[in-house]
Amino acid sequence: MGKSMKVDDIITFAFKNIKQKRTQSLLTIIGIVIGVLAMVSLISLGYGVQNYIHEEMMKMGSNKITILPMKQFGVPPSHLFTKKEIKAIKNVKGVDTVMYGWYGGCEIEYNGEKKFVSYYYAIPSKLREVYKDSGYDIEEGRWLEDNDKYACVIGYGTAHNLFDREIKVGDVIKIKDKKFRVVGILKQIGNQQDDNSIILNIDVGEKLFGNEGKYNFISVTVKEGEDIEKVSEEIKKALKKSFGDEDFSVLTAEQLAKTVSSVLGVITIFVVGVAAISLLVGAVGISNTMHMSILERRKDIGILKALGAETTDILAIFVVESGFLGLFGGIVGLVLGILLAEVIEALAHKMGYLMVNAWISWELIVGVLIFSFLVGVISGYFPARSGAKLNPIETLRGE
Amino acid sequence: MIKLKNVTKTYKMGEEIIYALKNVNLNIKEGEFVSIMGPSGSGKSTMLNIIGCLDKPTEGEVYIDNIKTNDLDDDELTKIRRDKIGFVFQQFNLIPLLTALENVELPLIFKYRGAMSGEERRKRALECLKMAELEERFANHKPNQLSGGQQQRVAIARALANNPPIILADEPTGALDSKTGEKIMQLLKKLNEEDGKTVVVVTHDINVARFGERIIYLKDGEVEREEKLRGFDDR
Repeated sequence: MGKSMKVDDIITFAFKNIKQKRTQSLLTIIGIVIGVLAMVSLISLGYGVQNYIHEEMMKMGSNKITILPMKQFGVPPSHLFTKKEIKAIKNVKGVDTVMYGWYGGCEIEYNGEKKFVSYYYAIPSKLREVYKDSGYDIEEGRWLEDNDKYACVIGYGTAHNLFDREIKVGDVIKIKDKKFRVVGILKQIGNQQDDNSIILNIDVGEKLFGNEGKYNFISVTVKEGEDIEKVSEEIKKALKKSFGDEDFSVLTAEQLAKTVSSVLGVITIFVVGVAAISLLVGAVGISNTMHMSILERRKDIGILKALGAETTDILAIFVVESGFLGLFGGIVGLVLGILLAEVIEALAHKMGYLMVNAWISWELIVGVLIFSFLVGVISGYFPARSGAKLNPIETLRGE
Repeated sequence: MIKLKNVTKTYKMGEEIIYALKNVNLNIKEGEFVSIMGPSGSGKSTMLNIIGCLDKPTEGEVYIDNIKTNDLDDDELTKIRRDKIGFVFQQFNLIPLLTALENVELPLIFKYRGAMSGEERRKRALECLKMAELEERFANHKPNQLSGGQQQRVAIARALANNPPIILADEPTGALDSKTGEKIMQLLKKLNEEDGKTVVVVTHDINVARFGERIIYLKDGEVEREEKLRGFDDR
């Protein structure tokens, strides 16, 4: 009473039992392995993507504000920005550069092939000003100039991956039957949307796509020393007056990162929840194995009780045994999960999706191991308790 | 040392009540060697289980070392089993996973827990194996690598581990050939005479029973008669 068995004696006994039934133990932990493998790889990739996007967003600069004519992502805008809004924003104190334009998708033709890409048009000098140091750098050739007409800059993917023959600086592509000369190629950004893109001057773009005087995005830089949150609030007030309603978003880099991250976070949680079902199956497997194991060892339990083992001693032996089953499954699942995440990362990077990353940290590793040990302990507890309470007479009589 | 007063043990079989023991009175002194003999179904194993605190009587009183065991809860009964009683079974009942030495160490683990080091435990276990006359080279063998006689010696060593004053043996020779069985009984007699253990042996074999100082004959759950073979003064 009071003192329990020495911990290493319990562990020794539990390990002997596990080793004795090696095949059975291995089959039992498969459920745990699969559950942990799925959870680890999905959490790793989910957080990896979130972290990557957050870093990329922050890289766009803590002095930038993005303004969109919709309240929420995914809902099409009810109306668009005009020169009126541009003027109102320019008049806000603290605003430095205002860049406005259009973002959409279109088909381009090159070397007899047609491919779908995203396109941007804006005033080139302002585009460069707002996006300098943001990862939008020229790999080859030059940036667009304000007096360029039928010239374009293309993304890394557009140049190198999309067409059978690579597009080079100086080549001519067709957009809506208009010829454009490629004057520059961007460095790889790491997501297909940006890499498979094309950038045009606003004058020619407006005419080409028929959206003259309308803009679906505005990007602003804030003057040095100004409080970006304050400027953001002032822009909201100005837009409210000019736009006539509040169907717009004014997003700092931080807010943008949070918004996108939270969407991905929800997806990650959902997917991990599905993986947790595998873990539940694994837990039931452990319970089943412990139950069968205890039935097989009723005689041993009776012997131990006759020798002076307390109920808590026997309970401890069985619970530690099931805990180790869970832990061992967790270790195997963890290793395989990390390997899987790394393989997926490598494949994704090779295909140009730099945003797919495996996030591995000590918190993930330790958390998973504790979690799987607890799964083992909890799932083993109830069969262990019923085993520990066996009447020694009944077990010994059955010899 | 061991006292049973008007002990009755019943079981229900449907509507019928079966008497395993009926109004048994028994007194065993410290250092005595008593045999309990009877055919199958006479209640002798039930009696041993009650003495050993593995079972409780339906009626009557049981005393171990003047402690009334009827009133004790499971933990207290466990403590008595651990400290005062060593069991020897017909089928040895060793833990098959453990070596001979490890089997003998088990009672020490349960009694001393963290207070006895592994080295001390091992030393005590080897002493007990020696007392049980098992050669030390067999200490690391698993039960399935030992003969029946050797296994029973390990079981006796295990019973001795906590140096309990009482040894309870339920058909200790039932699974052995007669020659080996005789050696085992010689060992129990020696433990009784030289180490002062109180020994209670349950058996159906008169040749085994005769190792005791007196034989208590059970029939249909009742003490039929008692036969005194030797007394303390005969030693």
